[in-house]
Amino acid sequence: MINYLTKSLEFDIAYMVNSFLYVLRGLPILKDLLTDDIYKSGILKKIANIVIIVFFILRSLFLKFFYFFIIFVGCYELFPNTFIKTYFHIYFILTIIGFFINNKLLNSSKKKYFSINLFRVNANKMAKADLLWNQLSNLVLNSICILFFGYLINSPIIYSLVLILFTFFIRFIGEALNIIFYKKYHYIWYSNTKYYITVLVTLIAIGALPFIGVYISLKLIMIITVIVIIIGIISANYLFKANDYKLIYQKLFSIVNIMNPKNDKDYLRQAMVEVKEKDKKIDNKKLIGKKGYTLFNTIFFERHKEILIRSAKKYSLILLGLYLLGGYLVLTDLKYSEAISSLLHNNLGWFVVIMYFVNRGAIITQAMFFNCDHAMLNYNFYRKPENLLGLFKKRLLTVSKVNLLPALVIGLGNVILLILSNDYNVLIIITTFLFIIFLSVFFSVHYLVIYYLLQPFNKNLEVKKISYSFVTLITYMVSYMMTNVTMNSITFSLLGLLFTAIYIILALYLVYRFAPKTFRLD
Amino acid sequence: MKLEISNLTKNYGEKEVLDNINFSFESGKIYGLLGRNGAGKTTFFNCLNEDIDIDSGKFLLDGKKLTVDEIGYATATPVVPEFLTGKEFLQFFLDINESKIDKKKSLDDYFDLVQLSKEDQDILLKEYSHGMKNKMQILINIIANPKVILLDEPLTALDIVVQEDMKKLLKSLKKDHIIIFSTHILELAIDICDEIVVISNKRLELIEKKNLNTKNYKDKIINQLKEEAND
Repeated sequence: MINYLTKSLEFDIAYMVNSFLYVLRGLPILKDLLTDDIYKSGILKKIANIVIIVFFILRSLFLKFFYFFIIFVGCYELFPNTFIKTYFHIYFILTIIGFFINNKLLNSSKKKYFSINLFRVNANKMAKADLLWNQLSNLVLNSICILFFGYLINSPIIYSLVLILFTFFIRFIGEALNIIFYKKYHYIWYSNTKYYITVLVTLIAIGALPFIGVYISLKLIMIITVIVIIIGIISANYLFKANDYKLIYQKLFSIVNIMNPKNDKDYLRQAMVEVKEKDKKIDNKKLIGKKGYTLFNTIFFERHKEILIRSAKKYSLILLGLYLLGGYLVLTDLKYSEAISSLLHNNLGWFVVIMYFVNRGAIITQAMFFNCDHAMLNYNFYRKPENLLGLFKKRLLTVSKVNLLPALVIGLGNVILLILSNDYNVLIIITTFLFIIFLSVFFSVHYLVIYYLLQPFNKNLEVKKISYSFVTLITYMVSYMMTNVTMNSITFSLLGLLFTAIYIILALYLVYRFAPKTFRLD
Repeated sequence: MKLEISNLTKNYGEKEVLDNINFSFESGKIYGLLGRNGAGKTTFFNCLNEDIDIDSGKFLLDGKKLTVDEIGYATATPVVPEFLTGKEFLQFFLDINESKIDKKKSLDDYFDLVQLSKEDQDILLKEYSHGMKNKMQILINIIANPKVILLDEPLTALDIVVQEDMKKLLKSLKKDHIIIFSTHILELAIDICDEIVVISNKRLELIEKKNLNTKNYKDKIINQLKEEAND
């Protein structure tokens, strides 16, 4: 078991080291310095090993710490007077939720599948080693965090010890119950949505009890912990004595399951952009009179109606609902009327971040690559500059149109709110409306342009260019930072119009100049 | 028609894959390109098709620079736009190549060439089997009449009936085209190809058949392929 555990950790580290070196080789300057020999270099690998181990420990610690921090701050903000009681209550309930849904033994992964079927690893040893590692590493991380936050609230150490023991032993119970359920019914209980929702809603309801002033007392937590320790020891004994893990895994890991795991990130990304069943049939009237690239582009958008057009319509409806509510508040309550008027007069930056979230540009480019360009870029005629740029123009027009619908709702909604609040002039109405429309075009151009200039995806739709991740991160950060800008809306809109106009012209120039070279498969 | 390759060199980082290749291909013949795994067959095709940058070399077609417009390239893993149906893809391709297609046949005539049934024409390419995608890709790559046709492992995934039809189709095309056909299957290469070219030691080498019978010819090819491992 220990041997497997060592090998398993070595495997994970080797995987992370190679991924790390791969990322390094993608960085601008390092790309030229690091050659293929990087994977053979003993010293470099040793350094990478240390970096990865340190990174892995810090990351695990950070994530655990962040989890506790969110609970801690959330409880403090929502219940400042009964903060400590709430903190224990919420942590206790969340740990029980974790015990139900955070299952490690029955968690399917390609690593487990290949270990058993390809490397012929003993399934019993593997399962037990994984369980042991998971429990011990969590014990260490949880202990650090529970003791630290316990210290912050001056809680007696005995309470922290109770929580540590409760967290440690309840996981054994969770794993054992899941295994027993699986053996009896041949499926993982939480894949049954009805069970899953019932249990989750019940637990969340108990978790929400502090809102009505009811708490699970520390005394009750201590009594439950004693019971959990006893059942936990029995469960651990059951799990470590069981010898039928191979059978369990063989049933669990059918090849179809492993190759199309529903929780696999690639699968989810791809499923999000794939052509939906109801979009397979197209209304032929929409294709009449169209040919060549115009026909090609129309079919593309018609086949992606669900993720593009219908989704933009859904956003527009939600926004419409919000604006109706806003209009009602402006008309009925002076306080809200003043707040909304102030937002529209001085904090238009909020609409940058709203437009960022409403825009479908990012997902459209993913659909373009996965369902179309990834194949079409293999054909010489498609890569010819005139065809590439001709299609870019058609796409840009269609994408802008798709995004224009929610933009119109926001733009007109703002105008109506300004009129209803009776605090407006013609200039602010025109500039803010135009700003929203330009902003919508800006985001449409932005995503399409960076897609054409960086072509960031591989065939699994993973982002393989760090520059793309960097640009999208900057886009988000700048959009978010706009919420802090307080400026007269007319000035903000005029500056925004100027910036977006310059950006759009520059971006289109760059695409026309460079895309024939950059928009290719590597 | 003659395709001349001069001084073609391609390296991946420090790894040399193709080294100063000089070779000529002629129309009227189907060339079988054989090589061991990783020998550089696909790299060779990708260089001709400008999918990757080359370190040196030039390609001339009847003395003029070969352009990608003159190439039809069917890749080993068939790639087709999965959001279109077979019919839509073919229609799109015919629309944009109107000027290049000499005798305009109906869509059905084209589908008959690769034996794609009526009901298959109207389903999304995403739902096509590997073999059907392969047929579709070959069809698209031959109907615009490119002068050079590159086929990377094109027949391996097809059932034997379609394989036979595709062989006939390729033989009918060879008169006016230069066809280079890469495969791992020696029997297939000997059966369909007029010339066998082996890629070994980073170079292309024509294996002369002359007076050899099939068995001796096969042995000669295998010996040539083995040589690389021994060098």
